[in-house]
Amino acid sequence: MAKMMVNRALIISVLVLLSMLFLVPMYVMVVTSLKTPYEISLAEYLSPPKFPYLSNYLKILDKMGEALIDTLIVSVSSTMICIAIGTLAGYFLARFNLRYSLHLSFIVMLASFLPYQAILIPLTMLESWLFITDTYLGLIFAYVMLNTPLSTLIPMVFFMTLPKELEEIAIVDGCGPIHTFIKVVLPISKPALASTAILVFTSVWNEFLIALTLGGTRIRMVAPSVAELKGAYAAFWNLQMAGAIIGSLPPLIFFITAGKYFVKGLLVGTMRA
Amino acid sequence: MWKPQLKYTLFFFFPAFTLILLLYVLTIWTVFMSFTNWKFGVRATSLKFIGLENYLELFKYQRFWESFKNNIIWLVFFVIPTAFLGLILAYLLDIAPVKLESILRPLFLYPTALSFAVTGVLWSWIYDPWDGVLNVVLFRLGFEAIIPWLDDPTLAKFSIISAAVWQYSGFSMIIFLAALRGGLLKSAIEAAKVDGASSAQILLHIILPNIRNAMLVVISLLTIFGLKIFDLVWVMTRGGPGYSTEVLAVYMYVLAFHQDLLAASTAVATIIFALSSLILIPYVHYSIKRWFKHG
Repeated sequence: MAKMMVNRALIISVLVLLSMLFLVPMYVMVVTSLKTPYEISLAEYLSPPKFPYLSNYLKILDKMGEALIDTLIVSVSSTMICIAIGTLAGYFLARFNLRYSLHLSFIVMLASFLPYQAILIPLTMLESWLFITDTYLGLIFAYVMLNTPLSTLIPMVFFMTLPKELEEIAIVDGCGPIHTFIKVVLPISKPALASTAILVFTSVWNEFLIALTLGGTRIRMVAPSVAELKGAYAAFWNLQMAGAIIGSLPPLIFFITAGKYFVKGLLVGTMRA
Repeated sequence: MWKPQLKYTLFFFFPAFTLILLLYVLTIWTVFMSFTNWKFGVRATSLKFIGLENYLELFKYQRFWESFKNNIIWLVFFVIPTAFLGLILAYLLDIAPVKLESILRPLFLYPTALSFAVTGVLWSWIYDPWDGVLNVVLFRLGFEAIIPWLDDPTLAKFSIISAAVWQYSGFSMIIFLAALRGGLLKSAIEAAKVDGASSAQILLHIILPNIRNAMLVVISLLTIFGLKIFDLVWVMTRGGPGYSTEVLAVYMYVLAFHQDLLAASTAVATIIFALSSLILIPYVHYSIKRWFKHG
């Protein structure tokens, strides 16, 4: 009994110590974003601010406001289009009698892991031929294309685990696949759609390479804008941290309020469901 | 269940399939261009096949090998520590009191939801030699030396890699945790107990093979991250000082967008793609087979 208590205490203390490694960077980031330049110059990073100094955030909102709106437009549209396209394709792969379903799934899953570098330069050329570089259309097109494989896989895996009874009843009632999909399958697919939406939204919001290459002057994306703060506000750590927090707020809100779906999506995305 | 008539195929599958096909077309285009003399301003009509010349040219550059070597360093010092830290965290959480686990799990995992840009800005500050958190804290603790975390060519590589380990160990933890907690595993253990298996037998024959699978998944995925890593290096050092932290993806970007050497850049892209495929093709093959067996 005593030995078990010691073990338990040991596990708890190791875990708490390790958790500091993850907690402290977030903590300094938050408290620093609320400090005045004078407080920063004292380099008392671990102490909280005397009074939360919110004008850092106002300054950052002023600088990054446009990028936040552009990124919101691009990520929400890409996510919605991906959900529509991907759910349909996922249902097709899961429920149609296809001779090559294994091969098709292979092609889709392989594409979901494709490094963006493999397509970056031709994509840039293609978009400049079509005159859509640095436009909403250009960025949304790129992100929809890059996220279609994942948006197909997550619903596909979900549909495959769904019992077929409900759909069979619909067949008996004389429904075709489109009707069955919309009336019977979609209403019970909310968890899969939520996982897909959160994962796609987060990956678009956080994306850097495509945003840097295909955006920039007319369409400004958040991730490169956050990175630019390093040069624009060199040594103004309070401003840099306020920018970093604002730039990660939407994904973090999803993570906090819908963590279950985030994790589920991550696991299915890696084929561990 | 349904017959794939043409109209249904068009409705359900055509949009996604077209986009996915386009991804492959663009990839093949990249590979194709790496065998030509393509530069900015070269007309399509004067495009020539030059075989492996771009690659042979690249292999002569010290800078290419420096980037390549740095990716290898990433594979060793990013992949293995991230996998093992994840395994340790998952193991400890699995045996920790439930209440503590529910508090700590999101804490280990939240960096996964951050962008590399945010992590890069945050850790660049932590590593700042003069007023970075790390040196200030070390100074308060009595270490007088100012450690140049990102300014020393050797140290900088490992500083960036540590930031990546910090960001991704939660990701590897969640995969191990799923392996330890999976419904299949728990019922297999129960069944083995009923059959009178000893705990050593359960560990050896049920838990370890399951963890081995998770380890395969984690190592494969992290290796791909390590091969294509760009943002974090770009934000923290732009590959500097010198080329000391440059990786293939950064070199590829510089070749294309700063030096206008498009064919050389597609050659580097092809190398990144080929190296990832070495991992990806068997990995996807294995996952699909496993998945269709269960499903």
